[in-house]
Amino acid sequence: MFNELLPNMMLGLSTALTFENLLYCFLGVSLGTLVGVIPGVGTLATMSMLFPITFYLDPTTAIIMLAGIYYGSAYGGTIAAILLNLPGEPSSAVACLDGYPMAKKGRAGAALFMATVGSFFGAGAGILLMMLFSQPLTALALSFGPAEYFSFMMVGLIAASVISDGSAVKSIAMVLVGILLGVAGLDVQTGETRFTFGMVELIDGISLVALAMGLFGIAEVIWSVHQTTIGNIGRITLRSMLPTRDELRRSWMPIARGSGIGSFFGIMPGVGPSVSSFISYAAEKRVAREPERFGKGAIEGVVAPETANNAANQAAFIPTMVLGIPGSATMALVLGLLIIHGITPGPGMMKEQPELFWGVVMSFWVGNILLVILNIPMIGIWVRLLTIPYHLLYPAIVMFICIGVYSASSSIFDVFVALIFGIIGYGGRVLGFSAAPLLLGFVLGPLMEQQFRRAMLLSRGSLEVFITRPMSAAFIFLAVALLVWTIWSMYRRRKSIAVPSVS
Amino acid sequence: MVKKQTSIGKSLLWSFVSCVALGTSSALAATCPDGFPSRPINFYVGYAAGGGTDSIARTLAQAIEESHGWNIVVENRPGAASAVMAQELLNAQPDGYSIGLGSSDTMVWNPTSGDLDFHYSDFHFLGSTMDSWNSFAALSTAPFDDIASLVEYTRETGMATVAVAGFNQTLVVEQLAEQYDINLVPVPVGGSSESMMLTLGGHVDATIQGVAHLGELRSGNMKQLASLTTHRLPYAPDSATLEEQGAEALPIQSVTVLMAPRELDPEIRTCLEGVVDEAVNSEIFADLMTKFENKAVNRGPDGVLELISNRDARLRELFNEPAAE
Repeated sequence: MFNELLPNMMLGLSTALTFENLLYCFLGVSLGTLVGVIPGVGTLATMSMLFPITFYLDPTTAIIMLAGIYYGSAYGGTIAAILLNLPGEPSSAVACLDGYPMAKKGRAGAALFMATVGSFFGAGAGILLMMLFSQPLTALALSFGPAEYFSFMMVGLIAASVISDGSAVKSIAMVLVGILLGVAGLDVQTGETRFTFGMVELIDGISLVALAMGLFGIAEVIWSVHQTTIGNIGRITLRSMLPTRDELRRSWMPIARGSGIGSFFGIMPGVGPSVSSFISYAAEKRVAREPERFGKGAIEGVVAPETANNAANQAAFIPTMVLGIPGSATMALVLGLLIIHGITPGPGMMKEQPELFWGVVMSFWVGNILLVILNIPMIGIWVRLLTIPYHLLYPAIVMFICIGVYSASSSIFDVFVALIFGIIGYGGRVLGFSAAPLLLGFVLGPLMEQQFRRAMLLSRGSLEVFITRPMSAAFIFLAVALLVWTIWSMYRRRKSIAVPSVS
Repeated sequence: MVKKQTSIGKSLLWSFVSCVALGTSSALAATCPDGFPSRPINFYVGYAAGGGTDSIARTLAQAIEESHGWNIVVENRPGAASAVMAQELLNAQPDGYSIGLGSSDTMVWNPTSGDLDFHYSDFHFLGSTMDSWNSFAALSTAPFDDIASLVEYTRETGMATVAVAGFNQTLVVEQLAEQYDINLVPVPVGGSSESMMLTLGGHVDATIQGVAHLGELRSGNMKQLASLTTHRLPYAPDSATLEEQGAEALPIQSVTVLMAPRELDPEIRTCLEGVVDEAVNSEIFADLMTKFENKAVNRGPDGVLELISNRDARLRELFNEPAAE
């Protein structure tokens, strides 16, 4: 396996570095960054719009370009999250939590710089896995049955209940609201529709893009009525953009952990990068010596989720390219592209189309290097976004959100969904309910429900399946341990606050 | 070795497709009223970009643009398995400028589609482009090769599971279970990727698939137990149909249709029917069908209506649902 690696890499590089492929790679990543920055204008919509062009391109070139948009948008998504508290993509929502406070402290440049570095390392980890271990990893992904999926998502949900600072009860309440919102739509098990109120637009459920853009985007715009511009961004020198030694030191471990978490989530079809960024944020908050720094501008809280979502984006290509099983709508688009060019995705593809497989993999390196080169010098320009007066910037943002949400499925209904959730998000924020746990519940809840019911169907209704299958048992054990730890640390904190007040 | 087989299979299929194309291409020459179309025509695709129906729409549009010089704008209106598109088409002007592409199945009543506000008689079908084929498949290591041995296996083990996506596939499994009085359990999932995951991971015993399993079939990882269509499938000619194997379950019959609001001007209707037929029988469309390992078939306006109304009646009969007025 390894002795073939070098010739394969050379083959891939010779494909990826042709003028045409390089050009389309550059086009893809620049466009990706741009749509990533603009809140609401989503990757999927952009890829769909460009899809017809790919009919006229060589399949390798076409995938290189579409993939560039996909992973490029994850770099761009962070920019608006850090500078404006508006996630460009749903997976960047969690980067707002600490990125925006950093920007308020004048550390926007450093946050952007480290997010880019983290993104690069995360993506690199995902690509390395794809180069070295794609076969064993797909075997691992396939060994996960419904019971394992359920138990592992349980860990995620419990781990993430501490995402927002403030009241744990409020945070759990928001997770539950998210789960309930996720219930609307078609119930796959019975084919019946739930809570659609006769609206055909709701049969596929509430749109994730509309929900996220409402809760984070529109709500932030309404919220901005209360505040003035950050304005004072200080002088942008190269020095102010570079992270301090302390920030660098704090970032390496989150990058390592984020790469691991992101890659793991990436190879599991159907889970998606948003979940991986939430979980890696939660993990950092768990292991931190001073978790109270989180939410107030901790660099770890920016770097970890950004690393994770880029790792997940790259690793998501593993099941798509090796098994022919797409984990998301965007990956389904990549598969569709292969089929249109007469290539049957699946286990034979790596051997039958080595130029395509290795060309695409090596183009990921090229694309990510291009993204770093594009992004670092741009930081200074992006930071200047903050000097645009809010009364000009925010109406423009609302317009972009509306265009973006509409373009995702050409549905005016979704625009109203975004506006309604904007109001709900604002109301929640006034009352101290954070939207991040809601988003996580919304994404994970329906997945967990499906996997649970499927596991019950396969085990003939026996709950034992969750502890008799070793992998599942390990996750359940982890979930219980996390729960106990959470309760214990809550109790300890309450006690430590209570003591001084008595004396 | 594997590659060789593929190319032989493809060229065989290709020559078959070209024969079909040659046989029918002269059937209908489109005659259109003067001045139609005077502006771009919209194709509303009921599925997302990158899917099969999307490629069909774009290829047809390309064929029509090449032969007639018309301007066709393809737009995706995904949602609820093309029901969102159908609903929207219902409100469109019946002027021939709004044409929908979706699955004939969206037009057929089923026990879970109670919410939909349309009926197939609300639309005029301009023709169809291809029949969707489904097959019953399992890992090659599975201890059964056809319906009879699957039934035997289910009796021995007490239960067997089949990953299915959608109502039609679920119904086949339920009908098999009933006919043979076995504990054959459908495991419903959201789409073919999920059912492939469950099958390849060995979490279920078998699955029903349209095209997602073709790569695995070719590499020898999976095998086909039965064709769920009314005929055998070119990529697994040895695998018999349900009927040939004595199973009474309703075969899955769905086609990709082009449709317009019902009150279409007769002249424009004839024109569009002709243009669609030409496009379906064009060379570039045949080429696309080869890539899909399928073939171009236009059942014609009457053929499509017949297919939909028959299936609608059969399903209503099965579930004791009165016919719509």
